[in-house]
Amino acid sequence: MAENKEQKQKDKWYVQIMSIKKPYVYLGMFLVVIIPFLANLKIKTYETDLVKEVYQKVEKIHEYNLNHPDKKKGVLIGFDYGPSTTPECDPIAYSVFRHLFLRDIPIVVWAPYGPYLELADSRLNRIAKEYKANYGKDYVFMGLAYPATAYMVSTSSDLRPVFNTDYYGNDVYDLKILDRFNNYDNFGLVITISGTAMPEYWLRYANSLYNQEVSVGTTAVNAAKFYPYANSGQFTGMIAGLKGAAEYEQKVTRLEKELIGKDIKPYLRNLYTEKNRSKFNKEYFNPKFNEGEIRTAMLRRHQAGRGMSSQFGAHIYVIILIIIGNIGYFFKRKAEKDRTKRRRGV
Amino acid sequence: MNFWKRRLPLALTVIYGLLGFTLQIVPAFKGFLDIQNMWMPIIFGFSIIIGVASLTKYHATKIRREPEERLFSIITFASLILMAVVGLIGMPQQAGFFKSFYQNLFNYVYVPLQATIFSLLAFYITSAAYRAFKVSEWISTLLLVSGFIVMLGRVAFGPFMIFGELSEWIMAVPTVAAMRGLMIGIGLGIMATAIKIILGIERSYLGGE
Repeated sequence: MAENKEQKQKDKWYVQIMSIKKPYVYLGMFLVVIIPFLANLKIKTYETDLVKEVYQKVEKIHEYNLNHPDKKKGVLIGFDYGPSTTPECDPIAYSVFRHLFLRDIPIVVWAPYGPYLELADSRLNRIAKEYKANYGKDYVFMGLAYPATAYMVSTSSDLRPVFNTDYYGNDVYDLKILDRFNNYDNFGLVITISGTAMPEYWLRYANSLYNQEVSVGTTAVNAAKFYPYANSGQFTGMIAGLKGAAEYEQKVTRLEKELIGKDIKPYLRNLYTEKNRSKFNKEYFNPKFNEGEIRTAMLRRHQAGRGMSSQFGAHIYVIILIIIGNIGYFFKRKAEKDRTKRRRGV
Repeated sequence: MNFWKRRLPLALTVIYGLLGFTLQIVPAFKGFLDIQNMWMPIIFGFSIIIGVASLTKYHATKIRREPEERLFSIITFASLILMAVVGLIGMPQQAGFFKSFYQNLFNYVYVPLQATIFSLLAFYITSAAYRAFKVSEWISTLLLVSGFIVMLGRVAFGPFMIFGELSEWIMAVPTVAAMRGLMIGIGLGIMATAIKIILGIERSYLGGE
């Protein structure tokens, strides 16, 4: 008798919608993420003040450099993320690098941990190749900066003695870019792209001790932690998660179309000719684009926008599931209350 | 034994704790602070040795005593040795077999594995939200409504832009207020724990007690 009652209870529609099995929930999630991504759907997102602040700061450095060609300012990038956060941080890094190379702003990059080095090296050279940037003149990768705090402090005077060589073993005093861009006085901005707590160290050392402006690019999970600093103006803007990356990506793509033209493919195809190829050292990148690389470079230009379409699907799916769960919960409670009332009435 | 296991570590903690504190607040010792920072990679190097030794001990025991788990432990060992050997030889090289082998292992095994583990969160969160996010009291309703607004706001466009604005407000005002409170609390907690450790009141890191 009791078993029958229990079975009847389980058969009720509101109990059933409350207990969808995990594999089906996971399968649904998989589909709503993978379908928009494979369909190459892109979402145009609205732009927030915090992202605009980072973008405008870079634009101001560009304007300053145009007006002061002998006293140029560079940007120091803390490549502070590892493999686990690449889906969110890669689009941020790509957009930021593209913006800096487009505006011809000298870039100095370092990474605080061993596993980040390979990522930083590949991402930086990948984008440098798209803009014909010269290693040692337009950009440099310093390699490992561990413990990062010591390097942050040393950059107040000169970062060269603590490194000795760059990532590729070149003597720091042989790299032309480092003659000028070796301390905070000549960096207009520090941008830390991080999935960890590293931006707080940048704030404590570079910003608090040496008054260096610091912008942050971070994962959505970490963003809540950095909002107080961004709101108080300690961080010069923030690129938060995939949404922030998509905003920055949109802005940079608009700029690129304005400077290079609407169709990027022919630009990439004709970037390296037989004549100019010899100017580039093959150690950093191969100065030649094949069709596969052009296709990847084009996809990279809206990587965050594509990710946003998957994120849209995932968010809506979670909301629908929560609503379904709550409808079931509401009717279950109602039925329980009714039963209790009936029992009391009897 | 008591000296090596308890008294010496305790004394070192007190000495270096006070020293680290003094170096931070006395400007005249700034030069020593840089030296202290340089020592950190050395300590980090030793922590890797301890980590590898501990991992080896744990999985060696598992291989001996747990036949069902043996395969996973063997895979862990093989991965550890392979990555260490290939990394040590290939990382400093400019080109060559080991360099490209290391790069391929890093780019096509290590990176996707780490990203996969992180992305599994999405699946767990979906399942947990579906089962646990229920409107039972006013406070949970408030949390649920805020969650909805922020989730919709992050992907808002066109006619749904109102969620974008509301989401921005939630992130910039209530979230910041709560985070500031949390951060102050955490900061005070860290300070209190650090003082207790330096003064030898908190000794649980030595094991036992």
